[in-house]
Amino acid sequence: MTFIEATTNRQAGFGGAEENSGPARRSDFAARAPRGAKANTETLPVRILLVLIALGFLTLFIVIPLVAVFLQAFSKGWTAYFSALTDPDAISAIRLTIIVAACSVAVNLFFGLIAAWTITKYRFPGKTLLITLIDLPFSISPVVSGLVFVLLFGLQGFFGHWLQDNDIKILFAFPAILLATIFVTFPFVARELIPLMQEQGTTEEEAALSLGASGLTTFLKVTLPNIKWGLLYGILLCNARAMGEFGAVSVVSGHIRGETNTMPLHIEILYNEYQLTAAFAVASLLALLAIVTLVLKAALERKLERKR
Amino acid sequence: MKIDVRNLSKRFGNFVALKNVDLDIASGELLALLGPSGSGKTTLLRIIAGLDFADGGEVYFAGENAANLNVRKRHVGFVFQHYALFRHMTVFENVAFGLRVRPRRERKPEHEIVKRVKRLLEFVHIEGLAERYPDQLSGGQRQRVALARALAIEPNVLLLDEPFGALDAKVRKSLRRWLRDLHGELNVTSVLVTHDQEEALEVADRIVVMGNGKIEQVGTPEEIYNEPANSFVFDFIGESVKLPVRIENGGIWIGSRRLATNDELPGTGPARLFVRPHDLTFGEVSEAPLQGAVRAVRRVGALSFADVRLDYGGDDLLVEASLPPETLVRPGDLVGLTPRRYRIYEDGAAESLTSAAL
Amino acid sequence: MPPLSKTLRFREPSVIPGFGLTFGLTVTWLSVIVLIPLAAMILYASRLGFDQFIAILTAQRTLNALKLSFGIAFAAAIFNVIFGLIVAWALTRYEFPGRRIADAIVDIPFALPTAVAGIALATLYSPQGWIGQFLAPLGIQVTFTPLGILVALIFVGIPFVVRTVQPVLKDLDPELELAAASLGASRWQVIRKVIAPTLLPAILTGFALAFARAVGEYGSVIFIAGNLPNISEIAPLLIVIRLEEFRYADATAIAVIMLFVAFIMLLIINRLQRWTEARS
Ligand SMILES: Nc1ncnc2c1ncn2[C@@H]1O[C@H](COP(=O)(O)OP(=O)(O)OP(=O)(O)O)[C@@H](O)[C@H]1O
Ligand SMILES: [Mg+2]
Repeated sequence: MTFIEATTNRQAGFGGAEENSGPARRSDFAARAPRGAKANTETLPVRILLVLIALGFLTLFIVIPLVAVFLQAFSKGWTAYFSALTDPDAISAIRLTIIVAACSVAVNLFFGLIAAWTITKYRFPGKTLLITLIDLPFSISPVVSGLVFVLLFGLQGFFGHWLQDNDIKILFAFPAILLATIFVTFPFVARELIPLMQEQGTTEEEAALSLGASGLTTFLKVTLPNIKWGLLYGILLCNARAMGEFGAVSVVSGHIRGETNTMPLHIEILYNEYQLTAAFAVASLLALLAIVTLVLKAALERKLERKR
Repeated sequence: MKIDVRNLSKRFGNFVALKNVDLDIASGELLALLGPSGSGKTTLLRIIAGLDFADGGEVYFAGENAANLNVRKRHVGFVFQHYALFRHMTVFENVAFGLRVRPRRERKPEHEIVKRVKRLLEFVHIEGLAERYPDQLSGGQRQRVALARALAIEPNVLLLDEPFGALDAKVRKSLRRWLRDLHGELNVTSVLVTHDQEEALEVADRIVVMGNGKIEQVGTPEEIYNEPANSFVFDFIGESVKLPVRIENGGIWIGSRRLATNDELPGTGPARLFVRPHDLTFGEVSEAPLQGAVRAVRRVGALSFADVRLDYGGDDLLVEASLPPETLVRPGDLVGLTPRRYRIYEDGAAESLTSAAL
Repeated sequence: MPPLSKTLRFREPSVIPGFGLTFGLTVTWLSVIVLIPLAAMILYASRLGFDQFIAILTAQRTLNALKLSFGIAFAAAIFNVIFGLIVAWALTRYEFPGRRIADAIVDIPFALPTAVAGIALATLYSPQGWIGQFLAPLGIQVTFTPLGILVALIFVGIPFVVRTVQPVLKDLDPELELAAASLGASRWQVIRKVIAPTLLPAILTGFALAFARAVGEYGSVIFIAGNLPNISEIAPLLIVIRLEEFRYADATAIAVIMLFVAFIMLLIINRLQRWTEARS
């Protein structure tokens, strides 16, 4: 019983004991308790079995692949690991990834805030459509997300010839990589903020306005402090996805080594060249980013929960 | 400041929330907006504050059309139904907010703001709670903070939306009295929204009764209680007993007994008689116009009530009558009841046909 | 005369300033970054002509890729519903050592870049890999087969079912179960009659989310799939291949179909989510 406790059973026990405070009732409760308790959770073997299945599933599909990344990365020792990371192509991929992620986070932060504000603070027709459009990049295949920019800026695309005539390079260069990343990560900040701001309503803003605050002051001093943790959470997820985006970026980048390769693309190249250790070394950085993101996310979640 | 509301209308989609509301609020008075849930009280208050916009009609602040004054410029102290305190600010910062966000030219130096906030906190008796956050306060304390915050900007008018709605009966009562005293001291024009008639009757100088987006009656508490303008107000204010009656030959008939004659009564037809439970006197079965059997006797505090089942031309009707202290009745007793003061309303019409005191 | 804003009213008036600015910026930006690119794609596809469009989609290789993508995404989502339910149940109902860590781990597929997952899975399940070496003697080949695609799609779909079912399970009033039990219902009856109907909308939402994600998945699949045409070539990969061959028309036709499905899935998911909220 001590190894796997049924949480519901415990709660029910407490609730029952509190309600039945009179002495006559208590004996009544005691007589009923064993049957109620038994019916309200599974038997111990079933509980153990379910927990083992759950843990086994998570281990097989998540833990082992994650551990494999780090073990493979270090399989040839520290020197191999570091030389893989200090390779000029790797460094340029890391640099490009950081720049792209920083830019798209900044852009999405700004527009995510504005979109969430518009959607949650006013009533207007077509709001559901607007939310659906914001969500759309979530459910579109990353490859399709990349393709749309090829169709716009590629040589056979709508602006292809004009761009070539004017010697402007978008596709297979930094601008397209950034655009594709922004497209893919567009929903993260707004999606995180919309439910939060919806729940908070508009009365605090109204109170601030009635006390004489301007719109900007109200936003900075009343709205922003209330959503700062949710905002941070959105930034975190947006950043993780921006750094790790593969499909969309792969379509628009052109895979030019040392120029338009981001970390995930660099990993692909190394893997396809059978440089497994180097591929996993770079991959381990991204895996580490994922772990750090999740740890911070858990900390933020606990903070948000305590605030409630 | 004097506030006039002229012909105000407001719709939400197809739903009419306010219909041609006219209201004069005198400078310095404490006015209660009383009405059942959904009658449009909050909507009216928000339009006065400039937090909502009417579809038609105007609001005048001291005789000046407020259409072009936005909520920032109106200087209203608004106390929200659920306080709307700033969660991430301490009590002190909450109260100081309105002073700190003023444009630099009008802003007082910080030490004066501190002094003023301290005075306000003393004024509402929460000086010890300055460093607490709203979620560390009880409902009554939050209410005081909300009031202090609204008062900090020296408002032209104080608008309170069910300020005591979420509090328990005892706290309500003491805050009610405290608000009355506070108003006496400050003399700021105040509008208090409530659906608690007792609260309105006790606190307000004047009461506005609202129903379905319309003003049903405006008057002093005594007028509202003693001379309800129509059946809605009669029914809403205080307890009431409703009896179906008939008007015939200038007489009011209850079943086969005549209650009274009145030559002014027009025509013939069904009508309703409204009477307060304490205006039903117990009397002899043979003489009283109403008679029935006592079903139960209840004591509520110092008062006693009897549930009497009236034998009403075949239909049974259960009414509640207050028992005078000396009357002794037991369940099962046959008793007679005579309406002492009552009003007669024609079926379907709101206006009273007659009122009478026997 | 009433001001124009009152007679020609687009939105309900609000005291909160900044509607014009924020709404305008949102719509403009959304148009630039999402709407115009998508519209361009649809315009491109519409220039193909109906016959060509159908010809591309009914080519054997395209059909096989689409069938593979949808079929395996469906299978993976089913798999995720079953195991996701067990995981969500264990995480919310039982107290066991490591519960908190297990709970945090569920989100890894969200946060781990798909390329990283892809090479890790491909290495693990190759005939010499840690897991593949045990499967090879049994005659089970994972890499370069549809089975490998299934493994990858299960990986990316894990969080969806767990994270949609978990909150509903947590909010489920224990007194309801207690009440049912006290009325003499067996545990199995309680689960079937009380718990299952409440969970159903959340389960369907989780399924739809996992399916939508799996259909379009690219990065985690291509390494393990081996990408043999007609056998283990998924639709997103075929789009990439057509692009590399400069057959933009082919790529666009497939992409439009996938976009259409994504949009339908989004509408279904919105419905389901509203249903979930109404239920709980
Ligand atoms: N934003 C809105 N959209 C649609 N209908 C609304 C809106 N605000 C109020 N209403 C409707 O207008 C009517 C009046 O609402 P109001 O809030 O003024 O009532 P109230 O008298 O304050 O009620 P309560 O005592 O319950 O607070 C209600 O029927 C309400 O449903
Ligand atoms: Mg109200």
